[in-house]
Amino acid sequence: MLQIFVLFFVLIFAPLHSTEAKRLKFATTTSVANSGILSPLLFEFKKKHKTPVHAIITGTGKALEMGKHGDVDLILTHAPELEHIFIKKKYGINKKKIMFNYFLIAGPLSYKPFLKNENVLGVLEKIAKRKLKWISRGDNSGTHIKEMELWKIARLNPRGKWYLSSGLGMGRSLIMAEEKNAFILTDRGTYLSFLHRNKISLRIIFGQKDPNLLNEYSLIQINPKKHKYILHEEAVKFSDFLVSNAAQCIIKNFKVKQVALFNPASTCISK
Amino acid sequence: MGFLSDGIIDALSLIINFDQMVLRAANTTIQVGVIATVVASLIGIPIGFFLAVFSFKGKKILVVLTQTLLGLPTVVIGLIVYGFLSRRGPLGFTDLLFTPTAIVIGLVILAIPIVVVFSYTTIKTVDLRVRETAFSLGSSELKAAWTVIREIRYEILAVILAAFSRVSSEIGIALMLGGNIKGFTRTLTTAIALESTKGEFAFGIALSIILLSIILIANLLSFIFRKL
Repeated sequence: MLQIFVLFFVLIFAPLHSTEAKRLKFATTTSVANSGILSPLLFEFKKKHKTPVHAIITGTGKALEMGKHGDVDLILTHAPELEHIFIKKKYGINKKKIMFNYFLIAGPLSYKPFLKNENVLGVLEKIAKRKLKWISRGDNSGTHIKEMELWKIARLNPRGKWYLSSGLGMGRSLIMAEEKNAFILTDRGTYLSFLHRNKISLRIIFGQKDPNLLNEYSLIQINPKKHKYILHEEAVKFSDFLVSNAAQCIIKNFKVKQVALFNPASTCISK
Repeated sequence: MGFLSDGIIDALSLIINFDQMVLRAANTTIQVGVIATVVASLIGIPIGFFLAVFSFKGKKILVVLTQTLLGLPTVVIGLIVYGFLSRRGPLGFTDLLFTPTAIVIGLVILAIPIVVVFSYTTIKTVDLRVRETAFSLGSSELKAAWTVIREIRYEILAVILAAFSRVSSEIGIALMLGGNIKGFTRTLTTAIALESTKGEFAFGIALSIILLSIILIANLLSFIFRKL
Protein backbone atom coordinates (compact mmCIF):
# COMPACT_ATOMS: atom_id res chain seq x y z
CA MET A 1 0.00 0.00 0.00
CA LEU A 2 2.75 2.42 0.99
CA GLN A 3 4.68 1.55 -2.15
CA ILE A 4 1.72 2.38 -4.34
CA PHE A 5 1.24 5.63 -2.45
CA VAL A 6 4.86 6.67 -2.96
CA LEU A 7 4.98 5.55 -6.58
CA PHE A 8 1.82 7.46 -7.31
CA PHE A 9 3.28 10.76 -6.19
CA VAL A 10 6.66 10.21 -7.81
CA LEU A 11 5.00 9.48 -11.14
CA ILE A 12 2.76 12.51 -10.92
CA PHE A 13 5.31 15.06 -9.92
CA ALA A 14 8.60 13.89 -11.42
CA PRO A 15 7.91 14.98 -15.03
CA LEU A 16 6.82 18.45 -13.91
CA HIS A 17 10.15 18.86 -12.27
CA SER A 18 12.41 18.14 -15.22
CA THR A 19 15.49 20.06 -16.33
CA GLU A 20 15.71 23.81 -16.10
CA ALA A 21 16.56 25.59 -19.33
CA LYS A 22 19.17 28.27 -19.85
CA ARG A 23 18.15 31.48 -18.11
CA LEU A 24 19.60 34.87 -17.38
CA LYS A 25 19.75 35.64 -13.69
CA PHE A 26 19.97 39.15 -12.44
CA ALA A 27 19.94 40.36 -8.89
CA THR A 28 18.33 43.65 -8.05
CA THR A 29 17.19 45.61 -5.05
CA THR A 30 13.83 45.64 -3.33
CA SER A 31 13.44 49.35 -4.16
CA VAL A 32 13.44 48.52 -7.87
CA ALA A 33 11.21 45.46 -7.48
CA ASN A 34 8.63 47.01 -5.15
CA SER A 35 8.17 50.00 -7.44
CA GLY A 36 6.76 47.70 -10.13
CA ILE A 37 9.08 48.96 -12.91
CA LEU A 38 10.47 45.47 -13.56
CA SER A 39 7.30 44.02 -15.08
CA PRO A 40 7.03 46.41 -18.07
CA LEU A 41 10.79 46.23 -18.69
CA LEU A 42 10.94 42.43 -18.61
CA PHE A 43 7.78 42.24 -20.73
CA GLU A 44 9.38 44.42 -23.41
CA PHE A 45 12.60 42.38 -23.33
CA LYS A 46 10.64 39.15 -23.71
CA LYS A 47 9.11 40.36 -26.98
CA LYS A 48 12.41 40.08 -28.84
CA HIS A 49 14.51 37.66 -26.82
CA LYS A 50 13.97 34.02 -26.02
CA THR A 51 16.15 33.64 -22.94
CA PRO A 52 13.99 33.91 -19.81
CA VAL A 53 15.14 36.52 -17.31
CA HIS A 54 14.92 35.59 -13.64
CA ALA A 55 14.99 38.51 -11.22
CA ILE A 56 16.33 37.75 -7.76
CA ILE A 57 15.25 40.44 -5.36
CA THR A 58 17.57 41.28 -2.49
CA GLY A 59 19.54 44.13 -0.94
CA THR A 60 22.42 45.84 -2.76
CA GLY A 61 25.01 44.30 -0.44
CA LYS A 62 23.78 40.80 -1.04
CA ALA A 63 23.36 41.40 -4.78
CA LEU A 64 27.03 42.40 -5.01
CA GLU A 65 27.96 39.31 -3.02
CA MET A 66 25.97 37.08 -5.40
CA GLY A 67 27.71 38.75 -8.31
CA LYS A 68 31.10 38.22 -6.73
CA HIS A 69 30.44 34.50 -6.50
CA GLY A 70 29.10 34.36 -10.04
CA ASP A 71 25.69 33.19 -8.91
CA VAL A 72 23.97 35.77 -11.11
CA ASP A 73 24.85 37.17 -14.54
CA LEU A 74 23.99 40.81 -13.93
CA ILE A 75 23.29 43.14 -11.02
CA LEU A 76 21.25 46.33 -10.87
CA THR A 77 22.25 48.20 -7.72
CA HIS A 78 22.43 51.69 -6.24
CA ALA A 79 25.64 52.11 -4.27
CA PRO A 80 28.18 53.91 -6.53
CA GLU A 81 31.12 53.52 -4.18
CA LEU A 82 30.67 49.79 -3.65
CA GLU A 83 30.10 49.37 -7.37
CA HIS A 84 33.34 51.19 -8.06
CA ILE A 85 35.25 48.78 -5.81
CA PHE A 86 33.40 45.85 -7.38
CA ILE A 87 34.61 46.83 -10.85
CA LYS A 88 38.09 47.74 -9.64
CA LYS A 89 38.44 44.22 -8.27
CA LYS A 90 37.37 42.97 -11.72
CA TYR A 91 34.28 41.17 -10.42
CA GLY A 92 32.16 43.19 -12.83
CA ILE A 93 32.47 44.93 -16.20
CA ASN A 94 30.58 47.42 -18.38
CA LYS A 95 28.81 49.46 -15.74
CA LYS A 96 25.92 51.33 -17.29
CA LYS A 97 23.81 54.00 -15.63
CA ILE A 98 20.18 53.08 -16.08
CA MET A 99 18.10 55.52 -14.07
CA PHE A 100 18.09 57.82 -11.06
CA ASN A 101 15.89 59.59 -8.56
CA TYR A 102 16.38 61.23 -5.17
CA PHE A 103 16.15 59.82 -1.68
CA LEU A 104 13.91 61.63 0.73
CA ILE A 105 13.45 61.90 4.46
CA ALA A 106 10.04 60.90 5.77
CA GLY A 107 8.66 61.38 9.25
CA PRO A 108 5.70 62.47 11.37
CA LEU A 109 3.85 65.43 9.86
CA SER A 110 3.78 67.48 13.08
CA TYR A 111 7.54 68.02 12.97
CA LYS A 112 7.56 69.35 9.44
CA PRO A 113 7.54 73.11 10.20
CA PHE A 114 10.17 72.68 12.88
CA LEU A 115 12.52 70.77 10.58
CA LYS A 116 12.11 73.05 7.57
CA ASN A 117 15.51 73.53 6.00
CA GLU A 118 17.13 74.27 2.66
CA ASN A 119 19.65 71.53 3.13
CA VAL A 120 19.31 67.86 4.01
CA LEU A 121 22.31 68.07 6.32
CA GLY A 122 20.55 70.76 8.34
CA VAL A 123 17.54 68.48 8.79
CA LEU A 124 19.71 65.62 9.98
CA GLU A 125 21.49 67.92 12.41
CA LYS A 126 18.21 69.02 13.97
CA ILE A 127 16.98 65.43 14.28
CA ALA A 128 20.22 64.33 15.92
CA LYS A 129 20.31 67.29 18.28
CA ARG A 130 16.76 66.80 19.47
CA LYS A 131 17.31 63.02 19.57
CA LEU A 132 14.17 62.43 17.55
CA LYS A 133 13.58 58.76 16.78
CA TRP A 134 15.28 57.58 13.62
CA ILE A 135 15.03 54.20 11.91
CA SER A 136 18.13 53.05 10.07
CA ARG A 137 18.03 50.08 7.70
CA GLY A 138 21.30 48.78 9.09
CA ASP A 139 21.45 46.06 6.43
CA ASN A 140 24.25 47.22 4.14
CA SER A 141 21.74 48.05 1.42
CA GLY A 142 22.19 50.95 -0.97
CA THR A 143 19.88 53.09 1.14
CA HIS A 144 21.73 52.23 4.34
CA ILE A 145 25.08 53.06 2.75
CA LYS A 146 23.65 56.39 1.57
CA GLU A 147 22.46 57.14 5.08
CA MET A 148 25.90 56.42 6.51
CA GLU A 149 27.42 58.78 3.93
CA LEU A 150 24.99 61.53 4.91
CA TRP A 151 25.79 61.29 8.62
CA LYS A 152 29.47 61.38 7.73
CA ILE A 153 29.15 64.45 5.51
CA ALA A 154 27.13 66.15 8.27
CA ARG A 155 29.88 65.23 10.73
CA LEU A 156 27.43 63.56 13.04
CA ASN A 157 27.79 60.30 14.87
CA PRO A 158 24.29 58.91 15.38
CA ARG A 159 24.26 56.87 18.57
CA GLY A 160 21.84 56.40 21.39
CA LYS A 161 18.36 55.23 22.18
CA TRP A 162 16.80 57.43 19.51
CA TYR A 163 18.74 55.72 16.72
CA LEU A 164 17.26 52.31 15.90
CA SER A 165 18.83 49.92 13.42
CA SER A 166 16.09 47.71 11.99
CA GLY A 167 18.01 45.26 9.84
CA LEU A 168 14.91 45.02 7.65
CA GLY A 169 14.11 45.88 4.05
CA MET A 170 12.81 49.29 2.98
CA GLY A 171 9.12 48.41 3.22
CA ARG A 172 9.26 46.87 6.66
CA SER A 173 11.50 49.68 7.91
CA LEU A 174 8.92 52.21 6.72
CA ILE A 175 6.23 50.37 8.65
CA MET A 176 8.47 50.32 11.69
CA ALA A 177 8.99 54.09 11.36
CA GLU A 178 5.21 54.49 11.10
CA GLU A 179 4.62 52.41 14.24
CA LYS A 180 7.35 54.20 16.18
CA ASN A 181 6.58 57.69 14.85
CA ALA A 182 10.14 57.95 13.66
CA PHE A 183 12.11 59.55 10.83
CA ILE A 184 13.67 57.55 8.04
CA LEU A 185 15.69 57.89 4.85
CA THR A 186 13.81 56.19 2.03
CA ASP A 187 13.79 55.88 -1.73
CA ARG A 188 10.95 57.68 -3.44
CA GLY A 189 9.44 54.62 -5.12
CA THR A 190 8.91 52.54 -2.00
CA TYR A 191 7.72 55.56 -0.02
CA LEU A 192 5.09 56.54 -2.57
CA SER A 193 3.86 52.99 -3.07
CA PHE A 194 3.34 52.62 0.70
CA LEU A 195 1.72 56.04 1.00
CA HIS A 196 -0.69 55.44 -1.88
CA ARG A 197 -1.78 52.10 -0.49
CA ASN A 198 -2.44 53.73 2.89
CA LYS A 199 0.15 51.59 4.64
CA ILE A 200 1.83 54.62 6.20
CA SER A 201 0.92 58.18 7.07
CA LEU A 202 4.49 59.49 7.30
CA ARG A 203 5.01 62.68 5.32
CA ILE A 204 7.93 63.94 3.26
CA ILE A 205 10.01 66.04 5.66
CA PHE A 206 12.73 66.77 3.14
CA GLY A 207 12.16 65.93 -0.51
CA GLN A 208 14.20 68.39 -2.54
CA LYS A 209 16.66 67.47 -5.24
CA ASP A 210 19.66 67.86 -3.01
CA PRO A 211 22.76 66.47 -4.77
CA ASN A 212 23.63 64.66 -1.56
CA LEU A 213 20.45 62.62 -1.97
CA LEU A 214 21.07 61.45 -5.54
CA ASN A 215 20.07 57.81 -5.96
CA GLU A 216 21.63 56.28 -9.06
CA TYR A 217 20.90 52.79 -10.35
CA SER A 218 23.52 51.08 -12.49
CA LEU A 219 23.66 47.75 -14.26
CA ILE A 220 26.87 45.77 -14.05
CA GLN A 221 27.71 42.61 -15.97
CA ILE A 222 29.55 39.95 -14.04
CA ASN A 223 33.03 39.42 -15.45
CA PRO A 224 32.85 36.25 -17.58
CA LYS A 225 36.59 35.76 -17.13
CA LYS A 226 36.05 35.15 -13.43
CA HIS A 227 33.34 32.52 -13.84
CA LYS A 228 32.95 30.28 -16.85
CA TYR A 229 29.23 29.79 -16.37
CA ILE A 230 28.24 33.41 -16.94
CA LEU A 231 25.87 33.87 -19.87
CA HIS A 232 27.88 36.75 -21.29
CA GLU A 233 26.16 37.10 -24.67
CA GLU A 234 22.71 37.22 -23.16
CA ALA A 235 23.92 39.58 -20.43
CA VAL A 236 25.22 41.99 -23.11
CA LYS A 237 21.83 41.84 -24.85
CA PHE A 238 19.99 42.62 -21.64
CA SER A 239 22.40 45.40 -20.78
CA ASP A 240 22.04 46.94 -24.28
CA PHE A 241 18.30 46.65 -23.96
CA LEU A 242 18.13 48.56 -20.68
CA VAL A 243 19.98 51.56 -22.15
CA SER A 244 18.04 51.38 -25.41
CA ASN A 245 15.56 54.08 -26.31
CA ALA A 246 12.64 51.70 -25.78
CA ALA A 247 13.64 50.80 -22.22
CA GLN A 248 14.57 54.37 -21.32
CA CYS A 249 11.14 55.53 -22.48
CA ILE A 250 9.47 52.86 -20.36
CA ILE A 251 11.39 54.19 -17.36
CA LYS A 252 10.47 57.79 -18.20
CA ASN A 253 6.79 56.99 -18.64
CA PHE A 254 6.46 54.70 -15.65
CA LYS A 255 4.13 56.43 -13.22
CA VAL A 256 2.34 55.57 -10.02
CA LYS A 257 -0.69 57.80 -9.51
CA GLN A 258 0.58 60.27 -12.11
CA VAL A 259 3.94 60.62 -10.35
CA ALA A 260 7.07 59.53 -12.21
CA LEU A 261 9.30 57.41 -9.97
CA PHE A 262 12.51 57.30 -11.97
CA ASN A 263 14.36 59.51 -14.41
CA PRO A 264 16.02 57.71 -17.31
CA ALA A 265 19.81 58.02 -17.36
CA SER A 266 19.82 58.89 -21.06
CA THR A 267 17.16 60.76 -22.98
CA CYS A 268 14.07 59.08 -24.30
CA ILE A 269 13.22 60.15 -27.83
CA SER A 270 9.56 59.43 -28.41
CA LYS A 271 8.72 58.44 -31.95
CA MET B 1 -7.18 42.77 13.98
CA GLY B 2 -8.52 44.34 10.79
CA PHE B 3 -6.11 42.51 8.59
CA LEU B 4 -7.11 39.12 10.00
CA SER B 5 -10.69 39.44 8.78
CA ASP B 6 -9.52 41.08 5.55
CA GLY B 7 -7.15 38.15 5.13
CA ILE B 8 -9.93 35.60 5.27
CA ILE B 9 -11.96 37.51 2.69
CA ASP B 10 -8.87 37.93 0.49
CA ALA B 11 -8.08 34.23 0.75
CA LEU B 12 -11.55 33.24 -0.38
CA SER B 13 -11.49 35.63 -3.34
CA LEU B 14 -8.01 34.42 -4.35
CA ILE B 15 -9.17 30.81 -4.32
CA ILE B 16 -12.41 31.53 -6.13
CA ASN B 17 -10.69 33.62 -8.80
CA PHE B 18 -7.85 31.10 -9.35
CA ASP B 19 -5.25 33.85 -8.94
CA GLN B 20 -2.32 32.88 -11.22
CA MET B 21 0.46 33.94 -8.87
CA VAL B 22 -1.12 32.10 -5.97
CA LEU B 23 -1.73 28.97 -8.03
CA ARG B 24 1.88 28.89 -9.22
CA ALA B 25 3.18 29.43 -5.68
CA ALA B 26 0.87 26.75 -4.28
CA ASN B 27 1.90 24.38 -7.06
CA THR B 28 5.61 24.96 -6.37
CA THR B 29 5.04 24.47 -2.64
CA ILE B 30 3.26 21.14 -3.18
CA GLN B 31 5.80 19.95 -5.74
CA VAL B 32 8.95 20.65 -3.75
CA GLY B 33 7.23 19.55 -0.52
CA VAL B 34 6.06 16.20 -1.86
CA ILE B 35 9.31 15.37 -3.63
CA ALA B 36 11.41 16.32 -0.60
CA THR B 37 9.15 14.32 1.74
CA VAL B 38 9.27 11.23 -0.50
CA VAL B 39 13.06 11.37 -0.85
CA ALA B 40 13.57 12.03 2.87
CA SER B 41 11.22 9.14 3.74
CA LEU B 42 13.01 6.73 1.42
CA ILE B 43 16.28 7.61 3.13
CA GLY B 44 15.03 8.24 6.67
CA ILE B 45 12.70 5.31 7.33
CA PRO B 46 15.36 2.64 6.64
CA ILE B 47 17.78 4.52 8.90
CA GLY B 48 15.12 4.74 11.62
CA PHE B 49 14.41 1.04 11.22
CA PHE B 50 18.08 0.18 11.40
CA LEU B 51 18.54 2.23 14.59
CA ALA B 52 15.47 0.70 16.24
CA VAL B 53 16.12 -2.94 15.42
CA PHE B 54 19.85 -3.43 15.51
CA SER B 55 22.21 -2.67 18.30
CA PHE B 56 25.77 -1.63 17.61
CA LYS B 57 28.55 0.44 19.13
CA GLY B 58 27.95 4.18 19.12
CA LYS B 59 24.24 3.80 18.44
CA LYS B 60 23.20 6.01 21.34
CA ILE B 61 25.51 8.81 20.18
CA LEU B 62 24.04 8.53 16.69
CA VAL B 63 20.50 8.81 18.07
CA VAL B 64 21.38 11.83 20.19
CA LEU B 65 23.11 13.48 17.24
CA THR B 66 20.09 12.95 15.00
CA GLN B 67 17.83 14.36 17.66
CA THR B 68 20.08 17.40 17.89
CA LEU B 69 19.76 17.90 14.15
CA LEU B 70 16.02 18.40 14.68
CA GLY B 71 16.97 21.82 16.01
CA LEU B 72 18.96 22.79 12.92
CA PRO B 73 17.66 26.22 11.82
CA THR B 74 16.49 26.32 8.23
CA VAL B 75 18.65 29.37 7.43
CA VAL B 76 21.70 27.38 8.48
CA ILE B 77 20.75 24.55 6.11
CA GLY B 78 20.14 27.20 3.45
CA LEU B 79 23.56 28.75 4.04
CA ILE B 80 25.42 25.45 3.89
CA VAL B 81 23.67 24.24 0.75
CA TYR B 82 24.18 27.69 -0.80
CA GLY B 83 27.89 27.29 -0.17
CA PHE B 84 27.88 24.01 -2.06
CA LEU B 85 25.68 25.12 -4.96
CA SER B 86 27.22 28.57 -5.43
CA ARG B 87 29.22 28.86 -8.64
CA ARG B 88 32.30 29.06 -6.46
CA GLY B 89 31.28 26.02 -4.49
CA PRO B 90 32.10 22.39 -5.23
CA LEU B 91 28.76 21.77 -6.97
CA GLY B 92 28.63 25.12 -8.79
CA PHE B 93 28.86 23.46 -12.21
CA THR B 94 25.39 21.96 -11.77
CA ASP B 95 23.75 25.41 -12.06
CA LEU B 96 21.17 24.33 -9.49
CA LEU B 97 21.18 27.46 -7.33
CA PHE B 98 17.88 29.38 -7.54
CA THR B 99 15.96 26.40 -8.93
CA PRO B 100 13.20 24.26 -7.36
CA THR B 101 15.69 21.39 -7.24
CA ALA B 102 17.93 23.44 -4.94
CA ILE B 103 14.98 23.95 -2.60
CA VAL B 104 14.29 20.20 -2.64
CA ILE B 105 17.90 19.45 -1.65
CA GLY B 106 17.64 21.77 1.35
CA LEU B 107 14.24 20.43 2.35
CA VAL B 108 15.46 16.83 2.20
CA ILE B 109 18.21 17.74 4.65
CA LEU B 110 15.61 19.38 6.88
CA ALA B 111 13.23 16.42 6.71
CA ILE B 112 15.64 13.50 7.15
CA PRO B 113 16.26 14.01 10.90
CA ILE B 114 12.50 14.35 11.44
CA VAL B 115 11.76 11.10 9.61
CA VAL B 116 14.65 9.25 11.24
CA VAL B 117 13.89 10.30 14.81
CA PHE B 118 10.14 9.76 14.65
CA SER B 119 10.26 6.49 12.70
CA TYR B 120 12.94 5.28 15.13
CA THR B 121 10.75 5.98 18.17
CA THR B 122 7.70 4.46 16.44
CA ILE B 123 9.41 1.30 15.26
CA LYS B 124 10.87 0.81 18.72
CA THR B 125 7.33 0.36 20.04
CA VAL B 126 6.69 -2.64 17.79
CA ASP B 127 6.98 -5.98 19.49
CA LEU B 128 10.14 -7.42 17.95
CA ARG B 129 8.58 -10.87 18.06
CA VAL B 130 6.76 -9.84 14.91
CA ARG B 131 10.09 -9.75 13.14
CA GLU B 132 11.21 -13.03 14.66
CA THR B 133 7.97 -14.72 13.64
CA ALA B 134 8.48 -13.47 10.11
CA PHE B 135 11.95 -15.00 10.14
CA SER B 136 10.65 -18.29 11.43
CA LEU B 137 8.14 -18.32 8.61
CA GLY B 138 11.07 -18.15 6.23
CA SER B 139 11.12 -14.44 5.41
CA SER B 140 14.28 -12.76 4.18
CA GLU B 141 15.76 -9.81 6.08
CA LEU B 142 14.03 -7.29 3.80
CA LYS B 143 10.70 -9.04 3.95
CA ALA B 144 10.83 -9.19 7.73
CA ALA B 145 11.53 -5.47 7.82
CA TRP B 146 8.54 -4.87 5.60
CA THR B 147 6.39 -6.94 7.98
CA VAL B 148 7.44 -4.71 10.88
CA ILE B 149 6.78 -1.51 8.93
CA ARG B 150 3.38 -2.82 7.81
CA GLU B 151 2.49 -3.42 11.41
CA ILE B 152 2.76 0.32 12.09
CA ARG B 153 2.01 1.74 8.66
CA TYR B 154 -0.39 4.37 9.98
CA GLU B 155 2.11 5.67 12.47
CA ILE B 156 4.72 5.81 9.71
CA LEU B 157 2.24 7.70 7.56
CA ALA B 158 1.83 10.18 10.41
CA VAL B 159 5.62 10.60 10.46
CA ILE B 160 5.66 11.29 6.72
CA LEU B 161 2.85 13.82 7.11
CA ALA B 162 4.70 15.58 9.91
CA ALA B 163 7.71 15.86 7.62
CA PHE B 164 5.52 17.22 4.81
CA SER B 165 3.98 19.82 7.10
CA ARG B 166 7.40 20.94 8.21
CA VAL B 167 8.93 21.26 4.75
CA SER B 168 5.95 23.05 3.23
CA SER B 169 5.83 25.60 6.03
CA GLU B 170 9.50 26.51 6.25
CA ILE B 171 10.90 29.66 4.66
CA GLY B 172 14.65 29.98 5.18
CA ILE B 173 15.61 27.28 2.70
CA ALA B 174 13.07 28.27 0.05
CA LEU B 175 14.19 31.90 0.19
CA MET B 176 17.94 31.34 0.15
CA LEU B 177 18.14 28.48 -2.32
CA GLY B 178 15.17 29.35 -4.50
CA GLY B 179 15.62 33.11 -4.59
CA ASN B 180 11.86 33.75 -4.64
CA ILE B 181 11.73 34.01 -8.45
CA LYS B 182 8.20 34.80 -9.59
CA GLY B 183 6.48 31.88 -11.27
CA PHE B 184 9.49 29.63 -10.80
CA THR B 185 10.79 29.27 -7.28
CA ARG B 186 8.23 31.39 -5.43
CA THR B 187 6.55 29.22 -2.80
CA LEU B 188 3.65 30.16 -0.57
CA THR B 189 5.97 30.94 2.34
CA THR B 190 8.33 33.14 0.32
CA ALA B 191 5.29 34.86 -1.17
CA ILE B 192 4.00 35.52 2.36
CA ALA B 193 7.36 37.02 3.28
CA LEU B 194 7.36 39.18 0.15
CA GLU B 195 3.82 40.44 0.75
CA SER B 196 4.67 41.36 4.32
CA THR B 197 7.71 43.36 3.11
CA LYS B 198 5.27 45.24 0.90
CA GLY B 199 3.07 45.89 3.91
CA GLU B 200 0.26 43.75 2.43
CA PHE B 201 -0.51 41.96 5.69
CA ALA B 202 -4.03 40.88 4.71
CA PHE B 203 -2.74 39.29 1.54
CA GLY B 204 -0.05 37.53 3.59
CA ILE B 205 -2.72 36.14 5.91
CA ALA B 206 -4.70 35.01 2.86
CA LEU B 207 -1.70 33.08 1.58
CA SER B 208 -1.18 31.55 5.04
CA ILE B 209 -4.75 30.29 5.01
CA ILE B 210 -4.15 28.66 1.63
CA LEU B 211 -0.94 27.06 2.90
CA LEU B 212 -2.70 25.66 5.96
CA SER B 213 -5.51 24.36 3.75
CA ILE B 214 -2.99 22.37 1.70
CA ILE B 215 -1.59 20.79 4.86
CA LEU B 216 -5.13 20.12 6.07
CA ILE B 217 -6.01 18.40 2.79
CA ALA B 218 -2.88 16.24 3.08
CA ASN B 219 -4.00 15.18 6.55
CA LEU B 220 -7.56 14.50 5.42
CA LEU B 221 -6.26 12.37 2.56
CA SER B 222 -4.26 10.27 4.99
CA PHE B 223 -7.36 9.93 7.15
CA ILE B 224 -9.36 8.59 4.21
CA PHE B 225 -6.43 6.36 3.27
CA ARG B 226 -6.51 4.86 6.76
CA LYS B 227 -10.17 4.05 6.47
CA LEU B 228 -9.63 2.13 3.25
